[in-house]
Amino acid sequence: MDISNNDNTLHEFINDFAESKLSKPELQAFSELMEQNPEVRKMSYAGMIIHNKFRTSDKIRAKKGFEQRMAARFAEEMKREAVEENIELNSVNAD
Amino acid sequence: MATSNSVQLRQLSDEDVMEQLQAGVVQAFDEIVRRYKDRLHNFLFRYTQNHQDCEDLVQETFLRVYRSRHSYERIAKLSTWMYTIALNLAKTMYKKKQRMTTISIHADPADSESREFEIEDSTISQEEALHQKMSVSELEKALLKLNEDFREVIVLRDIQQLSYEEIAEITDTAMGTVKSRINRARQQLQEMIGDFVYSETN
Repeated sequence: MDISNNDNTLHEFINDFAESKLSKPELQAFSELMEQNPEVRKMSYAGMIIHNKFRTSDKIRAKKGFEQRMAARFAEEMKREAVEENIELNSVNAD
Repeated sequence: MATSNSVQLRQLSDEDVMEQLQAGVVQAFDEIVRRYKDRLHNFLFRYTQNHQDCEDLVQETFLRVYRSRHSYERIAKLSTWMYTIALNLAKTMYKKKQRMTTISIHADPADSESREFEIEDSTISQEEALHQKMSVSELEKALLKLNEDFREVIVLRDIQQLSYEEIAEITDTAMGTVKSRINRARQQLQEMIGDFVYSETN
């Protein structure tokens, strides 16, 4: 059996299996389906392994001093915004 | 009513902080940066694989959030709106980079000290930790080889741990499609790093 992209219920079950979110009775029923269908079994176990690997992978965080560097760029942005507002105001006054 | 005290801002929901920014409270911007800086780095690094480019992209995302502050409407979660902005920037940058050069799939080795490796089980052995690190590195390389639609759902679901509803909204895709893409993407990744997976399951 090919797994169709449109088989939403099956994809939901595979996702829930991969993320260990199936209840006991659901898991029992799904295990029977996996026994009968190697494609479903393959996709489900692949999903579980990949999901778990990413879950425990490196967490990338902002480098030290990021907030200060961001604040400096934000200050420039505020300055630019103020200049633009002045230009707009002057052109309105000139009219 | 505008709330300018940063202690008060910390107690507000994301959406309330955004409302403060819309009302002209500049400190609200700092609060948004404080809340999202790590999340956005973790997300955008998967597109840049380089800390400097990643930081530039995170800064640009925050500036876009500020510039578009008045177009934000409370019907959407702030996080969803921000990820949408970040994803669009990441896609543009990624396409530009792809046009210019062949992307190196290796992470920047000079940055290795700043990458924290998080292993939840403290009893894990050194060999297991090394194996884990190696297979994760294979996985990161494989992630860059996925097509764009698959990569974005994997990053949003497995790395950022967002709900299907949020992913559907960010990627402007039906929820059923999001779920099937996640399954297909995980299967493709498993096929790409087959050796590592095989050794772990046997």
